[in-house]
Amino acid sequence: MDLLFRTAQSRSRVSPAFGLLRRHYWPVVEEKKPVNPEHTYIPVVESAEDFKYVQKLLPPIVAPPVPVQSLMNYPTPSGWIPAAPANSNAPYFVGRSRIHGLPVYMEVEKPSYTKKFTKIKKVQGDIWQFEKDLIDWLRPHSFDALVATQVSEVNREVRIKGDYMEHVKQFLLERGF
Amino acid sequence: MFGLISPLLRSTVTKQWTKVLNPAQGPIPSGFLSSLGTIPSRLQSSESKTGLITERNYRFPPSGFVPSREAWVESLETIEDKKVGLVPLHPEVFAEFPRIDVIHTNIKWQTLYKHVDYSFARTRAEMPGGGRKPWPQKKSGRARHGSIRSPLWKGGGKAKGPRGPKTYFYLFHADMRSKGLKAVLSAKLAQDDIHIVDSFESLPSEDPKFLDALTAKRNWGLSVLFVDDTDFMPKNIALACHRRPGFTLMPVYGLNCYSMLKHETLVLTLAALNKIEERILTFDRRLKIRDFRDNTRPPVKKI
Repeated sequence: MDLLFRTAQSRSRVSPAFGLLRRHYWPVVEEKKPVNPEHTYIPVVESAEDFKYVQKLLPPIVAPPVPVQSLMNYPTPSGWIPAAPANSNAPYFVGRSRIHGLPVYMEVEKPSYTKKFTKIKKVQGDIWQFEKDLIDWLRPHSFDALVATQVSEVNREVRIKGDYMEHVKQFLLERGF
Repeated sequence: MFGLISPLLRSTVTKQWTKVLNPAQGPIPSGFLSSLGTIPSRLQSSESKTGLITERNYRFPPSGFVPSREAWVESLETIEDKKVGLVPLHPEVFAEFPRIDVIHTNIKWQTLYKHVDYSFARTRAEMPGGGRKPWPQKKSGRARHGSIRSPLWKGGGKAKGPRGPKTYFYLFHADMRSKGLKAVLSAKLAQDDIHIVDSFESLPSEDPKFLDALTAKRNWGLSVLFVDDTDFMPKNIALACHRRPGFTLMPVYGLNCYSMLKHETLVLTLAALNKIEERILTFDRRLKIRDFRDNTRPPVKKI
């Protein structure tokens, strides 16, 4: 406390000297007079056509739609598979994300980072039937044949305890979602 | 003072919304309103109202399990309800789950962000006097005190009181705002409180009694929110709603949860419906790319 007080005092004593070293926070604009004012003003033409070159640089707002013609061989080198055009007769539907990916996400609980959850979003229709089918699919892959799930009917989400990312993706792709 | 100012402010705002497009006043200067270019197309669509409207050209067509909702397209030409068409509504906007918690957070934000708390109390340091010790420390038989402005004293300063004008402004998540709009629109449609009209141009009379009779006949209630694509309105509806409490004209960019809940009925034009759906669907599909230009700062000039 004493040290702080002293420094504050010393700074106040030195303050007149600080005036010499003070920084200019605003740029000092010197009024430069042109040598020949006739040559400084260059005529400018506004061109709306050239804006297409600017638009090439701008990032896209939404992802482009799924290409039908160019990509016929699936899966793509990255492993992406599109949704089937006609879905199965299941009483539920799972949409795709905004970049046409499967809406399956991993949640890791802080701070231990040991509890893992698999979350499936965008489930429409009969979410309870979806949960049952999913549990039946995952049971052989689980350690003790028990799959703990949570269903949020309002948020249209299903959460599974454990890391089942690949199995859930297989399940969804097999149903054509 | 504030009671006097607020009605004036309100009148200016309504004036801004209800700018009358009068060709007798001469040509409107270019650049006056950015949405001016949408007039000719809107007039054409309002003129060609023969036949039922049944199809929509979606940029993002509905895909999924939830079927699209439907609504009648009405006309303001007659007092009786005259159907012009049947329009499908996108399920991602009009068939969402009416999340009450999301609506509540939106309403809370709308009430709080413009709230300023002006309450203020002086501390002992800010009050006059109190520098002198009221009586000696000892031998008087009274309690020891150092200042008459101590917070223990009556008429003393306030310890930890409200300090000055305090703003409650905060920015609400854009995702939650979009969700709130969808929740309110879905709830309103489920309650049969949304009506879609072809255009506001079709209102034949500027008499407020005609609009009163129309709303009474169609059971629209005492308060109606008219939403259009543009922020200037046709002359008849502007004059009919002028100085009428409960009848509000609003452009699409002013649509919000609070106003939709405050008014009993929401009346959308077809152009407004298209714009609302397109905006919300595009927003939900937008790529969350972080623009590299956000990190760059202009170079600091050393002087």
